[in-house]
Amino acid sequence: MDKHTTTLPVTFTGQGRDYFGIWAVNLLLTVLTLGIYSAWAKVRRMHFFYRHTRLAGAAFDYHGEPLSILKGRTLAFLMFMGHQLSAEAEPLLAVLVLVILLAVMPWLLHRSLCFRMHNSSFRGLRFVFRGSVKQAYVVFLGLPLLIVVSLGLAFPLWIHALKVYQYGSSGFGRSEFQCALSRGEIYRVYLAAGIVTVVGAGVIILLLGLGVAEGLSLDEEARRQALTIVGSAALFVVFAMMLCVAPFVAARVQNAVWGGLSLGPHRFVSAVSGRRLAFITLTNLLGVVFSLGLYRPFAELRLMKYRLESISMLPDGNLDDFMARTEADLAALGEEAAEMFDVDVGL
Amino acid sequence: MTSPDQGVDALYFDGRSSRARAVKLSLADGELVLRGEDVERHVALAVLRLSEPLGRAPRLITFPDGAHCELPDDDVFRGLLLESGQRNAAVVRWQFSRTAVLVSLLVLVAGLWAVHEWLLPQLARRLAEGVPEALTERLSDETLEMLDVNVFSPSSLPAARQQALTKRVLALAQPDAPAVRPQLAFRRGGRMGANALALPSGLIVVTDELVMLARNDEEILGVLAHELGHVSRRHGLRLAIESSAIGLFAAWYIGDVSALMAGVPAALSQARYSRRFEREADTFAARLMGANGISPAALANILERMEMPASVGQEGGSEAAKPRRTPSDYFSTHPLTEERIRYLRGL
Repeated sequence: MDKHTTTLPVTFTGQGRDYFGIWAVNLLLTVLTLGIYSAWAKVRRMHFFYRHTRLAGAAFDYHGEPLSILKGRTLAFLMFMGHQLSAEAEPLLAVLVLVILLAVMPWLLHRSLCFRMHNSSFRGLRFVFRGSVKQAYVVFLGLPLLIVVSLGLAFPLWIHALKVYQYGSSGFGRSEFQCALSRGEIYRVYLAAGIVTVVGAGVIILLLGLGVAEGLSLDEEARRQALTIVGSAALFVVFAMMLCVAPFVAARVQNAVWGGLSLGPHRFVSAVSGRRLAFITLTNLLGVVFSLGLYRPFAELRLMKYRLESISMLPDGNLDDFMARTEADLAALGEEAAEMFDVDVGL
Repeated sequence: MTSPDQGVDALYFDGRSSRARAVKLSLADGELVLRGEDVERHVALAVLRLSEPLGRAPRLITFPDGAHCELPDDDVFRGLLLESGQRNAAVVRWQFSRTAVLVSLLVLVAGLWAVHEWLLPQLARRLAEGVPEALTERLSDETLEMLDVNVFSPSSLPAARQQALTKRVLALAQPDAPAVRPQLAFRRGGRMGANALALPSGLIVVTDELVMLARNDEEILGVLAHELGHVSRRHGLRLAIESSAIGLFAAWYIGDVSALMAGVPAALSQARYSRRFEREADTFAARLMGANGISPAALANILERMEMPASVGQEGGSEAAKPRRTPSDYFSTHPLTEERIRYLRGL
């Protein structure tokens, strides 16, 4: 690591009040057009996030076309309606439709990853997703089935495969990302989360047990009060766990993924703090609730800013030498021919 | 812009490599002139693509061959925009106009209110009508089972009294379609006290305490007529559908961690909806009582006594020790009952 003498932090310059206007107008037009405008809304939102994200003095850019996004959304809507209608007509048919949907879903997710990377650029060069369709079936169908079979034990394995597929199959211009994500680290993260969850569940069961024991010994009025107190305490524990475990997992996974990522000789580092992320999550939640929802765009921006600005690049030399893919490269990938559309997934 | 020699600073990316070139931009004869390290371009303004404003994000000037310039969003760029004859789309102007954003918000809030007040109740009514009988039966059975375990104990009312009451209810003429075939079940109310409870299937649970509290059968019939109103109008199902729709919306909107918080808005609007349902059931009861020669005042009378401090004589010790509350104390915290009594007496 000696050769990386400088670090280039990612910066995010988006301001809440600018995003608020974009959010409000987008939402109104989406409602008024019964959702059709949502594709244009997404493009404006992506432009806002990408162009405010800067690295080494230049901004990222997004090139997705609203019509491609609309196509993907229409497809998703039709599939959903198809399933709903078949469920009304004939339950057996609905099962068949569900199986077909599950079978095409990995392909759709693959197209969606291609779309997103192809439409992202930095310094005038496009990103690219080179992951195979076959691997998409392993990641989006095979491993999820394994999770079910293994009663959840394979979950960290799936997260690992998903991140390696997503990041490690990406490229920038002609250069390729390598994702050396340690499987052990991901298992450790989820093991810790699992232990905390089990302990928390133990506390809840203990509390409920206490409540029942109290309830047996007291008269009716006191029993009701005891149950209320114990019930609220249990609810509080559940809430605290959800609030703490998820941000800590998200923080450690992000740090592990970016820590293992390299682009040619350049490396990255991510320093998200689980505590800070939990604090942001909690205050965002309170802000949204107490502003009756108006704080939501600010909350979204705040979380994004923190997660982005935790990432830095450790460059090896300057960033001027990346080359764009040539026509031949693109043809080899079949990118020109393949239909591009976006299916929204929270990957 | 200033003299062509000076121009404005920008970064130029040719789209073939990631190299950033510092360039000067200027305008001459309807053309953009770009000069910098080993690059000089003259491009007609008409073929340039100028990016939309996004707050403090840099502006992009994209050339027909895919090369682009990145420059700050300041007066210079706006001058260029003006000169090129390109204008921001209306949507973009709205996003950054305080008035337009405010109007969007107001329209959204009004729309949300309209959905909550008119659309959702209508939809819930339609949906509730479509719920198959088998499902309402099962829901009702499960609810009663749960209440039997947690709240109720077996009735100590003489069987003859139970049968007499059942007979009188069955004999009631029902003026409003759809007629409901009432079924009565008697229980000791425990902490529910003097009360009656309608389940979606048409089963009405009457507590012993209610029968004791009534000064005559007309009062009991009044309460049962009110409960029949809930059954006939399917209030239980409608309330369940409405509050789960609101809960789902809130969960989606607040997002992520906060599934637990989603119950709050649902509970808040449940109070509003149930007020409407009480009025509907009272109207139904008044018509039914009128058709059977009973004055609606009978219902008002027993309501007044039902909502008084529970069971003054019954559970002895703890309750008697507390200072007696007067009806006006009670009504200051329960305006709904007061309003209902006034309504029924005014009929």
